[in-house]
Order: sequence, then structure tokens, then C-alpha cells
Amino acid sequence: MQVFKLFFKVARSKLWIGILYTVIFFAICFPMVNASEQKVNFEDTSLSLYVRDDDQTEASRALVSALAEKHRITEEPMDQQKLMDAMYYSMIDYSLVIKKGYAENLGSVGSEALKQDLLEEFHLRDSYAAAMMNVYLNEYIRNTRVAVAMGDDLMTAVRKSAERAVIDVEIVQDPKDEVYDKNFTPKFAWFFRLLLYIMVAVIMSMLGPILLSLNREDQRKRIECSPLKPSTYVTQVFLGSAILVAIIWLIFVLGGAALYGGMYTGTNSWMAVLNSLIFALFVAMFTIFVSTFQPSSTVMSMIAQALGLGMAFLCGGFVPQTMLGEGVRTVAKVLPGFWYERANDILCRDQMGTMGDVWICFAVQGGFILLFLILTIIRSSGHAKVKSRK
Amino acid sequence: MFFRNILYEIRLNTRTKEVLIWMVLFPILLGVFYKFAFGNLGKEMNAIPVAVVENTEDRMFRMMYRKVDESTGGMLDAVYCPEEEAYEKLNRGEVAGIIVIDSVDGAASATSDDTAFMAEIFGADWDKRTDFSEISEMLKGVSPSGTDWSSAMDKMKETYVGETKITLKIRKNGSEQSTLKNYIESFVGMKKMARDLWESSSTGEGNNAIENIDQIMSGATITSVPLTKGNRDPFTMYMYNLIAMVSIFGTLAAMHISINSQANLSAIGMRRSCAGTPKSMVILPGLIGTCITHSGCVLISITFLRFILGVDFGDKLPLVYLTGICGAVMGVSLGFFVGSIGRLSEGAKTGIMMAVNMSLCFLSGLMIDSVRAIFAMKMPIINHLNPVAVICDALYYLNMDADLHRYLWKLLSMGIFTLVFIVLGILMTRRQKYASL
Repeated sequence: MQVFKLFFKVARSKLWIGILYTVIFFAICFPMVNASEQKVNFEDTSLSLYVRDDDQTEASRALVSALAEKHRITEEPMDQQKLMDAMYYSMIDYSLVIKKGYAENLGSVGSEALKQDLLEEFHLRDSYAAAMMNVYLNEYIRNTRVAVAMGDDLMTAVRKSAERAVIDVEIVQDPKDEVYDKNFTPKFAWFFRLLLYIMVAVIMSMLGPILLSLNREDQRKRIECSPLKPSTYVTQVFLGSAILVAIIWLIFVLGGAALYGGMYTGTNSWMAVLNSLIFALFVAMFTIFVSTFQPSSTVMSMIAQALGLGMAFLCGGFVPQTMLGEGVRTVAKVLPGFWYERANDILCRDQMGTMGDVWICFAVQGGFILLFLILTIIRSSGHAKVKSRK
Repeated sequence: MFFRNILYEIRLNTRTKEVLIWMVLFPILLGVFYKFAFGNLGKEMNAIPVAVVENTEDRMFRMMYRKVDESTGGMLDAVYCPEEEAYEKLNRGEVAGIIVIDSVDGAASATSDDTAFMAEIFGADWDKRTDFSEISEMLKGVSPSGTDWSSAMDKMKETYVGETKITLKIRKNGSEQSTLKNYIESFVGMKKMARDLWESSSTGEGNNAIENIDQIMSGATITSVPLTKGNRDPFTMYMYNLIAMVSIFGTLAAMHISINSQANLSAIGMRRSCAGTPKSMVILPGLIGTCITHSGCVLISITFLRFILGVDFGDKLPLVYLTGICGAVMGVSLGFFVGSIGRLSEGAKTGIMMAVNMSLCFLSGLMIDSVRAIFAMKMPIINHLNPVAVICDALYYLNMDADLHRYLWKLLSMGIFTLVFIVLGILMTRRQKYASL
């Protein structure tokens, strides 16, 4: 087992890079996955509102109270730049100014009063939050004005408007939905989503340099002139690669279990684990294939970053596939990362699909492994023939 | 000699493959990936797709829907379909929710007689009308034949604004679903208002409201004041971070300057320490040459992002280039400073610097943009002390602010950082004595 031992001797020198990636990865994952409970009841989105009341009347304060029932209100004074920053960073979803003369104009249905704007909204960009608030405020003001026109005094009208109609909202589950599993939540699925990049980075950064070292001209010549059979050499290298990849994969899966809060439960979680194993095998196979070209360590590192970041961005590793453009998704189908992420998304119900679709995703990834295995064999045998002719 | 050394430094840098890969190709590649992945962020909101199942007819709902659709420019994309089809659409993710309209127990429902009655008063297309003032005008002139006024009004009320129960069915929580709920609550609220109005008009109390209904419905309520004229796309923040990352990668390009001038760290350092050339004649040209090549790399990245990927950096592009150059100089000075600390080898220092750079980039929001936002709001000092965040802030202020006040402060910060790093670097490399080499 000389080659096998040599394999892990080189692996030890690359350990630090694996540790560095792993620590950073878990440091990022922890806050993202920490609160991974599944909401089973409907929860209205509570917005963060900035409200400046320039009117300071009973009616304006009633509006602020009505808003505060459902949303978080910030009344701390902010200049326009600070407000812009807060809205740009989505710390504030909607900013409202209750203008001077609000109560006076709200309490009158004369044509002049109806022309006066009562509120001012500092607008940064179109959003569902802004649309939602505009609908609410428009309805609030119109209802109040109608009530005033019907003879109510202002505060009675305001009170009536604040009593909003509430409709029933049900979260429904399809009884035929065989994939639904409350144990594998979209929030926890982020762990497996990000795993795509980290597995490419770690496996290629560790396995790649080891294979390059073993295939180095002088090293290779020494092995070739030794009594070691080529088949034994290949077997030991494959065994070493398999064990190394299995250890890396196992570390991430166990780390994931720690984030999950214990051993994975439910079919979907285990299917996601299986999905990650298949993808890890693909990355290993791809690394073996690339190493047959004997690139420099810089080029290998560049390929690792390009493949990892490329697949993470194009296939839905950093943003869910549903947020990617149609064109990007079509192009990404030629990458195994797309099928890895699609399987994850189906399992956490971020995308619609059946268990059959998940198995198709596994099969496509398996196809990629087979493809690179064949390419590696072709490449190695071609290389060997050229060498023997020389 | 000074200028010749600068020229040699530039040649040395441009012939280093790693520099070209990490300073030029890598940012371009990352920019392309960003564009693909985040290009859809900040684009116009799509209409919320929703299925409507009418188990009982609700004319007011249709009317309100058309009204809101007209006023919001199509915020909802409703499709009327049977219940089973609606559930299939929901399960396939084609709609965000299902609106189910059911009859209320005990409530009178419209009959064919009522329909004929309504057509007689409001015309054949009475159920397609969305104009409240038009309806109220017609209502004023109603003189129903063969029936008394009160029962005619009741009949009209039940036909137009008959009571129904509306339920929203969804599969998951989210802002689309909340917005949808808000719209439906608004419909229900408006319907309640219409019923109250109808009832009061029959007693004469609401005549004032009826007369003003059109003005009330179209009356001014909210004025929208834009906060900036700059590019408000949140995706641009990733591009600022990318430029900041390239700038700070100057650390990797500059570390060799101090290492190559220290006899205990490199063979070149030994030769230089023995030579009669003053250190300033070696270090300063090295710094200037590296600043020039690295600034060139940053300018290539900015040009690629602006003109190939079409990223909008606002209307002050020359200042964006200036910021890139200042960032590059700051990165180089940081690299020079780190290179002069301690006795670690260049490889170890590169590893440490890479980890430090990526951590600074992470804190600045290169991977997750909200990280910098959290610091900006909770602990702004972190962003003031993080060189990567300083570059990002400068680019952000340049795009968003009407004046250059905040931008100039950030530029000044970069200048101070640069000065401090260079002074510290020089202090650590000068007047070194070695017992043996």
C-alpha cells in the first residue's frame, strides 16, 4: 500500500485549506440555518415602517396606532440620506410622512380638501411592501372620507376605518403531494444548497494537488520503474481518492446534522444527503479527469473556483433556482450542479416536482459521473499509448 | 534609476500569470456570474398570479378587481377557474394563492329575475361597469316600475354587493401571499363601504357621500417622493463589492515589495541589503510600479462591468474610476504593510492575507449583501475601519447621493489608510541589521 500511504502523506499537507474552507462555511451556514422551523399557520408579513408625524393630531396618532398593530414602527428622526441608506439596505420597508393639515383635510369632503395630499411616501424602489402599504393607506383614507361624507365625525370615521375586514387564510397541502415532508424545511435546505460550492472548493483544492503530485513527471517515473503493477497503482489511487472524498463528505454531513439539531429525520432529509453524496462523487470524478491533463496548481485552483462559483451562481447555489432567469436556467441544465440544486429544491418544496423527478436528478448526475469516468479512461489509455510509443 | 525601477516593476507584474488570473480574469468571471445570478434582482415586480374560484357569483369582487387592476397597472394576474383546476395550479406553483368565493348562509343570492331587473335599470352591460360615479349617477335616476323603492334598492344591493365569504388559500408564507391577502382585505373593506353607502342612500343619509363618491375615490391621498436619482438596483451592491475586492487584492500583488527588500525573508532581499542603493530607491519605485499595474487591473474590471455587462454606476463614471484607483493604491499599501510584518515566508503571508481579504470582503457583503447593512445600522465603526467597506461606501455614495459630501469623506479615509499603511511599512523595513546572512 505504498501509493495509498503516499496519497495520505500528501493529503496531510493540504489539510489546512480544507479546514479553512470548512470553518468559513459553517460560520456562514450557522446563522442562516439556525431558525429553521416550518411555519404551519399563515403569518402576515410585518413590515418595518418609518413614520414621521408632522400633523400631531388625534387623527394622525390614530393612523400611527393602526399601523403599529401589524407593523414595526420607527419614529426616530432621520435625515433623507440616513433614510435612503436604511431603505436601500432593507432595514426600513416603507417610509411615511403624515403631512401638516392631515386631520383637517381628512375631516372635510369639500372639493379643495379632497385635492390635498395627506401623506407623503419616500420612494426608493418598487416592492411588494410598498404596494401593500399603498393599498392599505388608500383604503384607510377613502373609507374615512366616505364615513365623514355619510355624516360621521372624524374620530368615529377613523375608528371605523381602522376596523379592517379580516379574511380567512388557509395554508393548504395537496393530499396527493408525496414529496411534502415537514422535516426538511426550505430554510435548512440552504445548507445543502451552499454545499455545492463548498464541496467543489474543498474536494478540488485537496484532491487536485494530491493527484498532481502523484502524476508529477519524476514521481510517476519512479513509480513506473518500480515493481508495482499499474493496476495496483490505479486501484490504490482510486481507493485513496474515494476515502478522502468520503471523509470530506462525511464531515459536512455530520456538520449539517449538528446544524439540524440531531440526526436527520424524514425521507427528504436522507434523500438530500444521498444527493450530496452523488454530487461529491461527481466532483471527485471531475477532479481526477482534470488532473490527467497535468495542469499547474494555479490553473487547477482557477478551474476549482470557476467551476464552484460558476455552478453556484448559475445553478442556484447562492440564490434559489426560481429567482434565476429562464435563459440562465436553460443554459444551466448542461451542468450537474443544476440537477443537484433542483433535487434539493423539490425536496424542500421550493420547486414543484415528484419523487420521480428527484430520482431523475440523481440519474442525470450519475450520467455525468459515468461520462467523466469514460473520458478519464479514454484520456488515460490514450496517454499511455503515446508514452509507450515514445 | 528611479524611473527605470518603476518600469522593471511594471514589467515584472505584467509577466506574472497569477496577477493576470486573479486581478483580471477572476473578477471578470465573477462579474459575469453575478450578472447571471442576481441580474433579476431589483427588476420591476411581477403581477401576482392568483386563481379565483367563484362558488357563488360576486359582481362587486369582479368590479373591484377591475378597478384595482386599472389603478395599479396590473398588480394581480387573476384567472377564473373551477376549484380542482385552481388546486392543480397552486400545486404546480403557477399561482401564489387561490381566492375562494362562497355564499354566506342565509344571505340572499341573485336570481335570474334580479339580473333582468338590473339590466332594465343599468343597461345590458350592468355587470361590467367599474365606474362608481356612473353607477351612483344612474342610481339617482332610478324609478323602478311595478315595485316599491325599498325592495328595489334591496334587490339591487344583493345583486351588486351581495354578501359572500372570501377565503384565501395558499401553500406557503411570503411577501406575495401577504400582498395578496392585503388586496383581498381591501376588496372586502371596499365592499363593506359600498354596502353601507347603498343602505344609507336608501334612507337619504348618504346622499352627500353618493354625490362625492367619485371625488373621494379618485381624491389625492399619497404623494411619492423619490429619494435619489441614482441607480437603486440592489444588485449593484454586489458590483461595488466586486470592485472593492479587486482593489484590495492589491495586497497580494504588493507583498513581494517588502519581502524582497528584507534580507531575512528572501534571496533578493539579501542582495539588496548588501548593495549600496538606498532602500527608498528600491521600495518607492516598487510601490509606484505595483500601484500602476494594479490600478490598470481595477480599471479593466470597472470598464468590463460598465460597458460589457452594462452595470449602471450612476452619472459620475470618472469618479468611479478615481475611486477604483484610490482603492487599488490602498490595497497595495496594505500589502506592503503586511509583507513587512514578522518573519513568515511569502507563502504563509499570502495565505493569511487571502483569508484576511476574504473575511473583509465577507464583512463588506461580497457573499451576502445584508452583512454590511447590518453593520451599517448596528455597528457603523466596523464599516469605517474595514477598507473593503470604505471602497463600497464610496461607490454607493457616488451613485446615490446628490452631493459629494459623504463620498469625499470616504476618499479621505482611503487616503489616511494608505498613508498609515505605507508609514508603518517603511518603519518596519528601514534600518534593519542582521548578525549574519
